[in-house]
This record gives sequence, C-alpha cells and structure tokens, in this order.
Amino acid sequence: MKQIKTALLQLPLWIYFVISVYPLVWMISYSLKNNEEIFVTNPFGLPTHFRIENYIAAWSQFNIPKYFLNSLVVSSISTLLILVLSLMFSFAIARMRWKFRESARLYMTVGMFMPLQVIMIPLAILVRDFHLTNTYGALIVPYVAIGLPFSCLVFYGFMKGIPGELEESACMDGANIYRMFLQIIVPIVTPAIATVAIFQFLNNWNEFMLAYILISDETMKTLPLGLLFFQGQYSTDWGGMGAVMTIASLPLVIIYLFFSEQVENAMTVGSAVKG
Amino acid sequence: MGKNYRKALSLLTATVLALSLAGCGGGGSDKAQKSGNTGASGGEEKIQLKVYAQHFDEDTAKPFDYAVAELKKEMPNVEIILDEAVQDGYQKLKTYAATGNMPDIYDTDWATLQTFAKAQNVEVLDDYPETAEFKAKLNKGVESKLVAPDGHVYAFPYPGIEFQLIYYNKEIFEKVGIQTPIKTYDQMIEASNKLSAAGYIPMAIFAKEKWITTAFYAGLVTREQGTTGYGDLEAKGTTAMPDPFVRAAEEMYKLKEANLFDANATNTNYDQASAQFYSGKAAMFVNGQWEIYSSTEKLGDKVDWMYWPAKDEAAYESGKGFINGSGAPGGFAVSPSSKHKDVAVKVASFLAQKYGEYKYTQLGSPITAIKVDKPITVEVPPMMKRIAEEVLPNATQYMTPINNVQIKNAIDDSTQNMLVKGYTVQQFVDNINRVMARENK
Amino acid sequence: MNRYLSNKKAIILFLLPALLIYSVVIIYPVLQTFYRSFFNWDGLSAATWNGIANYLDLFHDPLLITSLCNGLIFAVVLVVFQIGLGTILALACADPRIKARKLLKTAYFIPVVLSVTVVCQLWIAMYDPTNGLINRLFSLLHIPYQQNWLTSPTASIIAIAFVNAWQFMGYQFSLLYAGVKSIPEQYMEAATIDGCSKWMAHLKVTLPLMKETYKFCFIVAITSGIGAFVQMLIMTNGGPGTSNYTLTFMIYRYAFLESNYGYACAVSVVLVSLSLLATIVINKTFDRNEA
Repeated sequence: MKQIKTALLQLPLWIYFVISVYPLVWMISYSLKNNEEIFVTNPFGLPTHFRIENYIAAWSQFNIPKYFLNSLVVSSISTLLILVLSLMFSFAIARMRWKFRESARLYMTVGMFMPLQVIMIPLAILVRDFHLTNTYGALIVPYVAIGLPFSCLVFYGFMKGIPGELEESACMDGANIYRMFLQIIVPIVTPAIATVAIFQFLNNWNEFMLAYILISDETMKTLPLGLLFFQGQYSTDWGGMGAVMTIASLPLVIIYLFFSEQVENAMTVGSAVKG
Repeated sequence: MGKNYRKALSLLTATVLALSLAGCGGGGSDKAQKSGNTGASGGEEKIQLKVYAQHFDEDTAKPFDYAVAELKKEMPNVEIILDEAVQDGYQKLKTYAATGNMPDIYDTDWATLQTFAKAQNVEVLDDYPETAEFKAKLNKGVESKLVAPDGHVYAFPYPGIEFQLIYYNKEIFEKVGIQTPIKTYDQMIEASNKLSAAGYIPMAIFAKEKWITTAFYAGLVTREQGTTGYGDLEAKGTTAMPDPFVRAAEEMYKLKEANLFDANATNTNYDQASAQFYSGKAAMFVNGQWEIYSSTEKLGDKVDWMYWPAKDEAAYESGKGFINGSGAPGGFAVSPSSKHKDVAVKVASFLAQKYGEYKYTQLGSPITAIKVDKPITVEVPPMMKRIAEEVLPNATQYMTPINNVQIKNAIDDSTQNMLVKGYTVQQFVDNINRVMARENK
Repeated sequence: MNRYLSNKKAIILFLLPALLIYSVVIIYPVLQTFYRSFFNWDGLSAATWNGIANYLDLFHDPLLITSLCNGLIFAVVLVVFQIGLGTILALACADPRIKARKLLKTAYFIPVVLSVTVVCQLWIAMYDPTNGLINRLFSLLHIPYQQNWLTSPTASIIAIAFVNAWQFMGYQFSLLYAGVKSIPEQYMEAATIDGCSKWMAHLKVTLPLMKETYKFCFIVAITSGIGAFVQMLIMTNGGPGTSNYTLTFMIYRYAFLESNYGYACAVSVVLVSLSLLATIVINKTFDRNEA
C-alpha cells in the first residue's frame, strides 16, 4: 500500500522526465526527415525512412571539424575566464569589507539587461579598434564580458550564504586572504561553479548573433553559423538544419551526462568541507 | 598554492591591462592605415574586389557563378572575392558600414540604399559612363528600378519589376465545380465556400512573412479605380487612406470571413504553404511569378495562374494591365571607399547585366531589368510564356513604390492582422491612418 | 578580522580584471546608448540633437503598451512556472527517498542544453491547430477546447512564454537544487527532531535559508521576461501584426528594420531602467522579509 502511494507520488516526476527528454528524441528524428515529413506527414513520430543524406549534406556544405574546433576553443576559453574573473569579483563584493561594494554589485547588474541588439554596433567598432576582427578574441572578449554579470550574481548569492565562522577560523590559522579564497571559499561554492560553468559554456556554444555579425572569416566560424547553409532564398531545408543542430547539441548532451556525475561528486566534497 | 595563485592573478591582470592598452593604441594606428590609402592601381596587375552577394542556394549561387565566369573572360585581371550574404535584413552590411569595412561591391535593397546614401556609404553612379550605357539597355517600364525617386542612380538592378499571381490547381477546381478563371470577388467567395465545404484549404499563403499579405492586399488595391499604388499613401498632407484602399480592405475582410485562408495562416511559412498547395491540400496559392518554376515542376499541367479578381467583370478586364508590383531601386552598388572605384563600377554593372542574362537565357524569365539579346536556351514553362505574351506587352501601369519605412511597416503589420479572425476594417484603417498622420504632416 | 577582510590591495586585485573588461565591452556601449537616445540618428550618418523628443514619441507609441503588457505576462509565466516547479522538483530530487534521482536531475536539464531554435521548432509543431499535439490532447481528453495557439493575438504570448519557461526551468531548477544541497544537513535534522514533517521543515528551514538563491532566481525570471525576444522572433515573428511585441522586439524593429537608431536607444534606456527597477524592488522586498 505504501509502495503504491510512493509510486503515485513519484509519477509526476516521471511524467516531467518524459517531457524533458522527448525534445532530444524529437530533434534527432527531425534531422532524419525531409520538409514534407516535418510539416505534413510525420511531425512527431520517429522517422520511417532514415534520411542520412541530411548529415551528408551538412558534412559536405561546410568544414564541420573546423567549425567544431572553433566552437570548442571559443567556448572553453570564455567559460574559463568567466569563472575566474567572476569568482574573484564576487568574493570581493560578497565577503570583503569596503565602502562601495553594494554599488559595485549594482554596476555589475546593469549589463545583464542590455539587449545585444543595441550594443551590437558599438561592439563591432570596439572589436575593430582592438584589432580583434577575425580572431578568436572577437568572440571571446564579448562572451566573457556578457557572461560576467550573470555569473557574478550567482556566485554572490552563494558566497553571501557562507557562515562567517569559517573565515574567522581560517584567519586564526594564519592563512592569508588569497589562500582563504582558494582553499575555503572556492571549494564551498563548487556546486555553483559547476552550474555556472555548464550554463556559460552552453550559452557560448549556442551563441549565434554575435558570431554571425563579428566573424566573416571562414576559418574562424563557429558551429551555429552552419545553420545558414540551409536557408534558401525561398525554401529552407529544415532536415538539414536539424542535422546541424544535432551535430552541435549531441556532444553537449553527452558531455553533460558525464559531467553531471562529476557535479554530484563535487557537491559531496563541498558539503564535507562545510561539515 | 597561495603564491602560485597570486602569480597567476597578477599575470592575468597584466594580460587584461596589456590587452586594453593595445586596444587604445590600436584605434589610432587603424586610422593612420586608412588615410594612408595607397592607390597603387592601374596597369594590368591583378585587382581584387570584395563582393557581398547572396550565394547560398541554387537560386542565388547559379547566377553569381555564371556572372563571375563571364567576368573572367571579359576582365581577366579582376579577381572577385565573395563575401556570402544571407537574408538578414542587411544587418551585417550595416555593421560593415558602421565599422568602415565596406566591401567594394554589394547587393542590397532600397531601404538600405536610402540610409547608405545619407551616410555616404554608397557611390552615386549618375555620371559614370556605365550608367548611361545601362540606361540605354533597360526594358520598357522599369526605369524605377535604376533611377531612385530623388533622381540619382545608386545601384545596378538585375530583375525587372516582379509581381504576384494567384496560382490554382485546375484538377481541384474541376472536381469541386468552380468555373475558371475567377473574375469577381463574389465568385472568389463562392469558390472559397465550395472549397472549404469539400475539405480543401481554399488558398495557401505563407503569412508568417508579412510582405505576402501586403502583396495580396496590393492585388486588390490595383483592382479599385483611382489609385496609382502604395506611393499614394506617403503623399505630403495625406493623413487618411484614400477610398480605393479602404474599399480593398473591405473586400479583403469579406474574403477572410469567407474562410479563404487557413486558421493558422499567419504562422505558416513558405515551406508549409507550398507543401499545402503541392500536396493537393490547398486549391490556390499566392506568390510571385518566380514560383512558376517549382509549381510547374511539382504539378505539371495541373497548375495555372489567374489575374486578381475585381468587383465586376468590366473592372476585371480593365484591371488586367495594372500590375501589382512596383519597382524600387536595388541591385549591385559600389562603396565610395573602394580602392578601385572605377573598376568596381564597371564590374557592378557587368555583374547586374550577366545576372539578367542568366535569368533570361537559362530560366526563360522575361522579367529582367535589361534587354537581353541572346536566345533562351531552355524550354519555357507555359505559365511563363503567358506572362511574356499576355502580361508584359499589355502592362499599362505598375504600382508606385512606397519609400517611407514606417508607413510600409504599418501596412505590413495591418495586412497580416487582416487574416486574423475578428480584426476589423476599422482597426486596419485606423492603424495605418495613425502612422500616415504622423509621417505625412 | 575586519582588517583582514578590508585588505585594499586584495580588493583591487580581485575586482580589477572583471571590472576592466566589463566596463570596456558593456558599460561603454551602454553609456553610448544613453547618450544616443537624445539624438535623431540612423546609425550611420551624422546624428542631430533631438532633446527628449524620442522619449515623448515613445510615450505615444502604441507599441510601448503592447510591449509592456507582453513583458509582464512573460515575467509572470516565467516566475510561476520556473520558480514554482523548479522548487518542487529541486526538493524532490534532494529527497533521498526518491529513486533514480540522478537520472531525473540530469533529464530535467536537457532542454537547457538544446538550442533555442530546436526548442522553438518543436513547439511550433506542438501548437499547430490541426496536427499539433496540444489540440489533439484536448480532443483526446474530450475537452471541447481548441485554440489557434500561435495565430491568436491573445493566446500566443502566453503560449510562447510557456516555451521559454519550460526550456529554462532546468536552469532555475539546478540553481535551486545547488541551493538546497548547500544547506548543512544539521539544520534539517534539527527541524525534523522538533517534530516537523519533511515538507514543513523545508518550508520553515530550507526555503528561508535559500533567500539569496531565490532573490537571484526572481531577478533572472522577471528581467528575462521583460527583455524576452528570440522566441517571438522565431515562433511568430512578433505577429500577427505587432501583437507579440516586447521591448527588445521594438528595439530590433526600430534599429534594424527602420534605421531609427536614436529611438531604439531610447527604448533600450526604458528597458534597462525597468529591469534595474525590478531588481531593486526584488532586493528590497527580500531584505524587508528578513527583518
């Protein structure tokens, strides 16, 4: 009886599980269909005829390994820089004591709201003036700057919640402030670091708008730009686009599946430190 | 650990600082580079020209490749570097302009040319010999594609004035028992009722794109007496829509209420709408004359096009010569900052002509900006033959174009809304009048 | 201790790199935007001083009302769906009695990993009035309700907001989950010893301790509602007509489709001010509850 009750209580969790996983299945099926199947005959089911030609088309249209590598370089470096810079910044505004820390936080918040559409042209001019046009820097620098406000605020929230006794004991042990930051604060916020890292990496990986405007050089293009090859003047090859999107997303999903295990472990370590 | 970290941190700070310092210095040196524009052209050395043109599917790549191959024969010392444009509303081109990174030659539309003209990002071509030459070759009635309303020439066009048609599936019409062609609004409403009753979508339309609803409405406007086209809506001092526009809106409302369009029309894209028509789910389809090729390919002799209906048969007959398309300048333009401006102008004119030549000789399309004296090398679809023999020789009037972007957008929004159940003629008129009152005062 | 934590050199060292790159890349364009909002400017040619004319025009622009209403609807849907459902799922996944928690947790995050384009295409198909799963579900359950989801001027904004809410729920969920996990277990144990039920203990202990996390989740949900854009662009292109417009959509239209850059800058200033205001209000509300 009790078991049935628990099962019933858990049913909604599994329904939402299906709703969350279905899009993945849908995307892969989509990439194996043609326009008629996508729009008219079979929008939701598994493909009846596997149209591998979509993938072949994607492969022949543009240099997938090169685009992939570019995406990987840009996203990894940006994510790493975002993490380092925002951890430092949030530590200073969340834990350290000085006059203008609230203003510094508000200052950092403003950037979160600025729509890209407006800063696009000033940004393009900046990239030119910094001689970053058609380099990885053309994307890395803006991605880092755009990622900072969000990450800083997440870390701020987590660091704010750390009990003060920890710092005091570290202080008594004679650790300097840098050591305290690295050995006490950073490990405690590891779960947050993992979350932010995943999210920022995804953002950078999927980013289209800036990559489109700021990159013209074929050897510097990132994966989302591959979608452009399937938009015709009148008609669009949706199956081909699906193939590109699958090629772009599937590795992420797989990485995430492995990574989430690490996150879980990191969290246990994190709470061990706290205890 | 602490020491290492501090080292890393200071290194990082140094890098960031260096980066920003380099940036500050960079701005200056960049300018210096630009002013030191060494015009080392002339002679028979290789000239590289960057061309920003659409080149992403068969329809756009083939004419470009054809034109470039021809150019190689004509001017072997010119090398074309293609910068592929996509359909982005010319956002990337505008960014190029803002960052001073313009390609030598670019293909763009009238709205962008207007902005560029004001900011001196487009070369005025009036006095170039190529322009006079181009003018002499123009087809009848398409001067408006070359010469802008302000009297200047900014770009060399390649298509002629394109327009929209109503395609229909003869087989379905026969099965349901509809007499063709449909000549009046009442007949269209009757056809719509019969088709819906038989389970068909009467007319497929990809109204997720707003220009097609504006084009549909334009077809109705041309059938009302007393207007020369959308240009009438931007005349100084006109603050209310002239009568013919209101009457056309009333007819569009009636057609919508007669379920001419699918309930999901405003969220239907081209691929969905054409699939509806080609799979026999929809009986009619509205699109430009360029659709003739795919519809012939997909439906063979089951498909034909008809003129827009009018209030009665007399109006139908007299309206046939009023084409619901308008010519706005556009095509290949040249950047004033090009290092080889004279060559670029020559090449732009050449490319535009070869694009037209391709459309005529390889596709049999008579809708080109310039006259082509080479023969058609392919079999021309019967529907296109009708255009060449029936429409173009009898065309008495094209619609006047609209230049004001605000009014144009208001028309786009409102005509799309017209397909939504419950949207009234009054709302339609009010919305456009409001913008006209602001813009035309 | 105080001197230890107010080490000036350390503060500057920690702040500087982030501040520098952020100020140059983001704040400088923001300031430019603010300045340009007082000009009549097409983005390319010389700008002419316009005073507050852009703002006056803006307050008579019917698109502003549409955009504000849509932003509000969007924000409400995001808050209710993401934070409500996110909390329930986060607490459930932190509960050791639930089986296969790791699997569930991973799955809930999957929509976030997919690109917005994929998700929008999926939902366009789902919302199709004749073939779509949503309307079919209604008829399957014998509910006599059918809706033209994306072509109705009223229903479409909610339908689109839901798509955004659904896709990024996983993100809020993972933040909340990390928040729940970072609460030392002793607190929970103490509460259960006091005789609270599990859910009551959460309500009394866990949630209040996660104040900062919630504050952040609210800020993200509300401000991304006010500034929503991409989903409309892909799913309905702002239509029918202008019924799905939001502030960012206005900016996109004025800056890129109408080359009215100065005006677009004025809209941006309104957008940023509103978002800042929302942030401040949320901060104040949370801090008052504490007292």
